[in-house]
Amino acid sequence: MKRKLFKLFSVVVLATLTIALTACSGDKETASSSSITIGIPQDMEDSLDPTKAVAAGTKEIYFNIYEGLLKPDENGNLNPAIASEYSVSDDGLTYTFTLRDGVKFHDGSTVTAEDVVYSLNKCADAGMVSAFSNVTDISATDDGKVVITLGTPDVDFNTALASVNASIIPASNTDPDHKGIGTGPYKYVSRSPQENFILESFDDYWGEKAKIKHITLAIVANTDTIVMNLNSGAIDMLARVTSAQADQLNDNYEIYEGTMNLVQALYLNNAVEPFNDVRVRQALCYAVDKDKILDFVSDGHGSKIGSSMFPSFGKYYVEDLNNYYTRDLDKAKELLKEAGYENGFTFTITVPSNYTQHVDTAQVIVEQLKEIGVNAEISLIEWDSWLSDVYSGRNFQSTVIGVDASTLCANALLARFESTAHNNFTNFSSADYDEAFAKANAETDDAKRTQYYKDCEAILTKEAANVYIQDIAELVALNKKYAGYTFYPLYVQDFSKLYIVE
Amino acid sequence: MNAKKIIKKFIFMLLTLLLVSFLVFLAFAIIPGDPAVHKLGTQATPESLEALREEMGLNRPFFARYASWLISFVKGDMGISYSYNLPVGSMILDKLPITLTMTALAFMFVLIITFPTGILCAKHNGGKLDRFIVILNQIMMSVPSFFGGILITIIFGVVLKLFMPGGYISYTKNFTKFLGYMCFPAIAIAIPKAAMSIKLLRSSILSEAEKDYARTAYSHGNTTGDVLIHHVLQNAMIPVVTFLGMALADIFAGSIIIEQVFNIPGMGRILLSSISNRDYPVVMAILVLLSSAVIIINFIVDIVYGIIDPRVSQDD
Repeated sequence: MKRKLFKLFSVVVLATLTIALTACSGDKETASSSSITIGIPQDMEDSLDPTKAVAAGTKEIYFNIYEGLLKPDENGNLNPAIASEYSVSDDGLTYTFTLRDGVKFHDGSTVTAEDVVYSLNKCADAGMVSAFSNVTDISATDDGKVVITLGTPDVDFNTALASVNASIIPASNTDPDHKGIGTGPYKYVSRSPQENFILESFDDYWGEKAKIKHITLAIVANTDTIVMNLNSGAIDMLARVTSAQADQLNDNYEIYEGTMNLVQALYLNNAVEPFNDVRVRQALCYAVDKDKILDFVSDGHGSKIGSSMFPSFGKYYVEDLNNYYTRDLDKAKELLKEAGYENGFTFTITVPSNYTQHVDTAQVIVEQLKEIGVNAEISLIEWDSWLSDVYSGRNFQSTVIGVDASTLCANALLARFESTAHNNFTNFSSADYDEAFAKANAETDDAKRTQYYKDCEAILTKEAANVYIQDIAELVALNKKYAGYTFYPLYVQDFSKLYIVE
Repeated sequence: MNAKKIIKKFIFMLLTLLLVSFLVFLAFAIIPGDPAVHKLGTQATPESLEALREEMGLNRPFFARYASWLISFVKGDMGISYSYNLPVGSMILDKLPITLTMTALAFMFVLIITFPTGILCAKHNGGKLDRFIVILNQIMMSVPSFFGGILITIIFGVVLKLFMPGGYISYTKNFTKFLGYMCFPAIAIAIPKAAMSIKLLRSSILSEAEKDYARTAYSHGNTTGDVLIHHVLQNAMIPVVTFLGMALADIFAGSIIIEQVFNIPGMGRILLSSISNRDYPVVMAILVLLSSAVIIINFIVDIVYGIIDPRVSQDD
């Protein structure tokens, strides 16, 4: 009996080892020429319905699958996509869209005005795009046009139509949560939770077709093994590698450098002591050295900012504000003295632990503030706790985070500082700001409007709403077998521009 | 092992599982954040949060939620994942083969390494080989499996290029390649466990070898190897089997960490992501599964005991 068991066991062992060893030797199979494996740090959201998408990491991928009436390009322009052209009535309330001829969904059907009305209504119901709360009616005309009527004029409404949440999906799809059908250059193929998400190029795409046929988005959850996974060739591309990781990559990789398009700052809760005193906030601004932070966090890459706006927003960006506060410890101490904190104070910086750059930034800030006698303590918390305590609960003193823009309009970054805004998590409150912001939104002349927005930014800087730091550098590692990575002024990844180097 | 004892053990097992599930559920009620907060993220408004909580049934009192989870679980319905909107049962079924394969391979490696090495050490007790292995063992025992995993990745993956680090291949796509890839994480898990069981087996053999029956066996003219394998080993195995049982449960549960190192989308990955997503139907199902595995393995160890050492079953 024992002998038999032993024999059986040996056979099993030998068989497994043989299989394993033969499998190992067959490992160096070359990948099909027209495919790429792209690493993503977290899994996609549950729903394949773009109108419900929340996470930035999901929306940036959906950008390849779904499209709206309009679509942003890499230069920040809004181009017609599913709509071929549109007109706005003189009162700014009625938008009329002519649909592009013969745009096909991934299931082969043609996009109709009914699909557009269905999708936009779905988007309005989902409530992810705030501009849609102003929509009073969406309807199709007899000649196949789509008319959107607004309650009050909104010059930036077209930017909302380009957001992933306002994508056009077929009304005939009965299960949009699990069956992803869009019109984009790539179509959804399959997914496996925590493993991968697979895309394939769409042959009937109306615009310039994607060059790489198969895309596997592999979920690489462990940041410690990213470098090994890249160097081994298991993944061909990864966005947002750190400069330390980039340094360890072998010669097979090209590093593309851009910025992440977010406003990284030490956000201060303006409603709690001691940050309810503008002098204290200004003192912190004078004490923090942005250059040192950039050096430490990303080897000097990235761009310094001075208000809630980043450079890729072009006309709205005010570069002068970057140097409004230059490091001046004496001035900082003086301001603290005036505010009654001659001996400094102690406060907490709450940082979500999953964001290395924000944690690193907080550490540099702690050291810099020590020089004016202010003791900061870092409290690392989980992302979900950050969401509930800091962001929705506003129960914090300060936090380091990056705020991104969902659409290509200044509103996307500035609306949250209106004193009554539901997402004003820093409790910033300034009558001047509210006035300037209201003026901007009521103005229809673009130049004047832009000026009002710039006024808003200047108020944020002068009031020292937050300690603005930088738009963090984005480094993208791409295997040299491929090229064509393109940065956008928004948080999106465009895979259709990638191609294989001959 | 009579029927009464088995029933008693079975009831005890159910109670343990009930307690585990209750504690996990309680933990989820206490920690900040809930699935609704996670799902809506920065887009949340108080109204939308409230609406989603209502939809997800999170507004009901704690005991009502636990009771309804328990009732459907007993009926075999593990619920729907909040973060994937898929039935939990099918999600786990997809991932289970990965974790089970890794556990089986790792346990096999532990057995292959332990017995020959343990016997060899005992045979050459005090010799150079023995001393070398004892020291090596001590080092291997103190290396945590995730670190071992990184070392293995560097040695076998980066330097020797026997496998592609991070290049996990799904078992549905190519089973042999899948098995080949899984060997490496399995070795990483097996090494510290094997080191511990070698140490245990060695000392257990040595203490048994001093007993009277072993001396009698020697006096019959048997060689050292014969005595150790045919007479001593069976008795020496008793403490080792206890350890191996614990180790098996440990390997199964501990594969969670090694999955991270080797980028394997198994149960551990799902468990970790579900904890941070507050996706408690998935967490509950996996933890209940893991605890049942531990309890069942202990149960099997008890039975194996009886086979190796007849005294165990007679005593009861």
